[in-house]
Amino acid sequence: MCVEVKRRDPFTATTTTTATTTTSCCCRCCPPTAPMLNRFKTALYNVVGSFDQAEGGALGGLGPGVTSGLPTSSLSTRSLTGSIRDKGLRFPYTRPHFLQLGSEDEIQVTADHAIRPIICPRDISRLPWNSGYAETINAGKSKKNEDQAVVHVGLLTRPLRVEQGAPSSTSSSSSSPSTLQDARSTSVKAEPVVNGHSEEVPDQPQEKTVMLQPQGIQHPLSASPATELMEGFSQDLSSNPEDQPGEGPGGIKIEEGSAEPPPHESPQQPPMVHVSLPYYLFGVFDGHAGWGAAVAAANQLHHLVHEKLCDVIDILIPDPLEEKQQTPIWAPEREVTMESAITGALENAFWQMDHTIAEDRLRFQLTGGCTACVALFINGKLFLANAGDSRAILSMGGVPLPMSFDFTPETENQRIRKLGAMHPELLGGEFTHLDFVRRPQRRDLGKRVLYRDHYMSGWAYKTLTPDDLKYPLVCGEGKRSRVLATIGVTRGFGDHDLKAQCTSIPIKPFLSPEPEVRVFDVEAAELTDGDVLVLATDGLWDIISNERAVAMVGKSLSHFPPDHHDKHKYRYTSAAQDLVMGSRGKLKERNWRTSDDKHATIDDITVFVVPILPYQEEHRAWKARQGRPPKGKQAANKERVDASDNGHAPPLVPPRNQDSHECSSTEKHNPQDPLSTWEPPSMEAFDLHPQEDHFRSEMDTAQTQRSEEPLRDSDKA
Amino acid sequence: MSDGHSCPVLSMRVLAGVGKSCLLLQFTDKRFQPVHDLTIGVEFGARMITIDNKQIKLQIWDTAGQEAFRSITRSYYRGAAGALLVYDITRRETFNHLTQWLEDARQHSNSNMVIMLIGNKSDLDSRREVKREEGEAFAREHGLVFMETSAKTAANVEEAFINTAREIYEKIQEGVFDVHNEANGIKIGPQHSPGGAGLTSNQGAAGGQGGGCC
Repeated sequence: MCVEVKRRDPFTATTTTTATTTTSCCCRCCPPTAPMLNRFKTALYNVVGSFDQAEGGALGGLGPGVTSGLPTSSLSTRSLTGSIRDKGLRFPYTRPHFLQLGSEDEIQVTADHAIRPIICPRDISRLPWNSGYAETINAGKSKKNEDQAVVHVGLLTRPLRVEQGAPSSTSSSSSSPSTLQDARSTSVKAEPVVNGHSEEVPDQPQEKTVMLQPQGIQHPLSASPATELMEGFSQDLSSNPEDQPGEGPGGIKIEEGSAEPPPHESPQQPPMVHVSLPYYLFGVFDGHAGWGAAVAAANQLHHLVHEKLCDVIDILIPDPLEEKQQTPIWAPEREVTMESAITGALENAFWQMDHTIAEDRLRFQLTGGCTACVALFINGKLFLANAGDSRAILSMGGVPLPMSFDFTPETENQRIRKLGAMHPELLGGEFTHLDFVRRPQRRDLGKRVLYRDHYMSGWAYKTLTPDDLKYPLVCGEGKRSRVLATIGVTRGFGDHDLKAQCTSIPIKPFLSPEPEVRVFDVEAAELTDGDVLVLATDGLWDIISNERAVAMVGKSLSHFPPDHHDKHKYRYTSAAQDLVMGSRGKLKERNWRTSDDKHATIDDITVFVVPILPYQEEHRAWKARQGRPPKGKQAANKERVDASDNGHAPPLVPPRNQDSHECSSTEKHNPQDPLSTWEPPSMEAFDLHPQEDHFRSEMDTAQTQRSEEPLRDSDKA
Repeated sequence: MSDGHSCPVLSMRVLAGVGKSCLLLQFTDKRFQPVHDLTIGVEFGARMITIDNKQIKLQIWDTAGQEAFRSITRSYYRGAAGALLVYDITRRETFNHLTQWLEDARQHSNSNMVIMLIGNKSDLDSRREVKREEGEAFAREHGLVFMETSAKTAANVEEAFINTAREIYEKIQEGVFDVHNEANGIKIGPQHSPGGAGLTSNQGAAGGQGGGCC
């Protein structure tokens, strides 16, 4: 929780940015402060008790500087707090479920600010591919660990007709509602059981809740069953899926898309197969000014992603039999690749997550904001969606490959100032969108000073006017950079009630949930089992550079040679622990110091180390199964491959991507080839959301009626 | 919270060797798990015990014994009031490692930490490689309390933990431990509610981080 204590002039401190890092404040939503100020703050904490006052964390700690305004802003702070406490919690505070911290007591032990234990999953087989995870709490800046994380395994399923003989010209039945309806019910019946999932129910009740929308708000898709987290991966998952047809890695039963048609199908009813596309999602959420937004994101974002992926399932799993519709020449349709559809799904999910938090905060206790960094393995590719200053890198052959961009006031300087210039009302007459080389003083009035406007990246001279003496919209450098002198991140969820220091100017318009999405072609890459994705909050990256992280991972992994069978599986967990340890350091004379005796972070730290080779193997095996088509499918496949030469990726047989070893932001992944013949299938044909949730427990299966979804929400709320 | 409002919390670490997770499980859950996976990082256990008619919550951290996790587990010795140093009487090499572990523990813990030496698997007397006398001698030499236990039959498990706790308790009575310094591994007062004793000292520690953070 971050409280700026000194009220009178929150801006004076910026002149002392040369202060050593010891005195730096690592939180995101208070201005850079001077050493004296920090000491004063510390003293104040000890007197008033700084941490979240309520166990729920409600408003406690949102100090004078960071005001929290609800729609009923005329209320006094006291009654405001009361009114918020009256509201229930939508999601209780918890640590990531895969840690299996069963009791409040255990969560309490992990939150030891003096020891800062490094916590990793008790049962590492709960994470796909024995991925590593480790976390530690901050050194006292907030009572709770405000970082959150999620791991989610899902399956997208689409029923497709099996081709009988040559492609029929009358294939319009795919859009026939009756056929789809039929297929849908089949899909429900054929719901496979997932190992170990049911045993998870008592431990993690909240994982069962599918709460996409607050009660009463009917979203068209809110009832589509979201895939539950797949628990209980067995060790030998990724070994050889080919040996167990129908059983995918991780004990996930994946329906075979190439299943033989049932023998006694009547010719009137074309046999259906269910093509299922598995995906894996890892996410970290770095909360600030309360844990509400981070917990909400960790509970909901993967459901939203699933929902949005379901929306575009016709692009992800195209029907090879589908007739291409001839678009009229006067209304050409733009190409939509599988990549751009997934990117769109992620972007959409991020936006809606923020929207959901905005609505929920009116009904529930939900404070603060959070960054989001989400890795999605799907269809042979890794999609990395990032909003905020968490970071993901790939460690490829000992070389770091950045998969995300840190969004900070410094890096987004121009976007923020442009927004301020376009909408001066957002500045409340107290801030200026101009950027000066040096903060102008009153005595500089009338002098020529170097400045830049919102449309400039370079500098020019202007004569200083009194208006220019207002506080800069973006100030500070590096970790100390702030928007509106208040917040140190520019993207993420939440913060809808956050106001600029000592003003009533809302911060939110400058914060955006919009992610940048980068894509890496896992399928085509040459990988070893030392190649990993490192996904971590800024607690790690403030201390450890990309290069150092890669070196540390390599060293950690080398401690567990493959001949140590019993310990080999722990290597990624060990690497994650070592990264947390490296950035947390040790307590020496009341300071956290790294092993080379530099300042360690006092922030929360959360790290995933995800091997990517198992996903590649798994995806190749999946594709091989898809590639065993029943009779007559070859022709269609050939056509697909041909189409893929134009850079469009039909998911049944995804092509090798041309830029195999590069990741790029998706803007570059929009090939617009007018010569292409592949068209995305008609969207109307699949408005029934044929995909079904294949990971729901029996309990959930019973509740197939969509109207019951809100009921479950209210149970949990 | 079940431990009341003025219940002291003693924290103990179980160190080194083999079978310590089983010991902990026997003590907290009264069950034995023959095949136990490697402990990575740290595991937690807790149990209420009664010493001199006083309810005391014993909070036990079971740390990884693997060499690869050494640098991490070292940081947990700090803030422990007591520790069990465990070896396997059927495996000589676990006994040979004790010196190193003890050195580690002494170096990274506060000097008053109560350490008890435990020779585990006393039920497997036929496969014994380390004589009871050797254990006793090692304990005498280094000023430890010694006990042989069996996580399987539960023999002496209860005693091992409770005796350690009792010794910590006596040191508190003698004033050796400052109960208000959380670095000693002792907390008094409600653990959860904010503003309690535990929390205040947490803040103190945090405030000391070079000016602290918010």
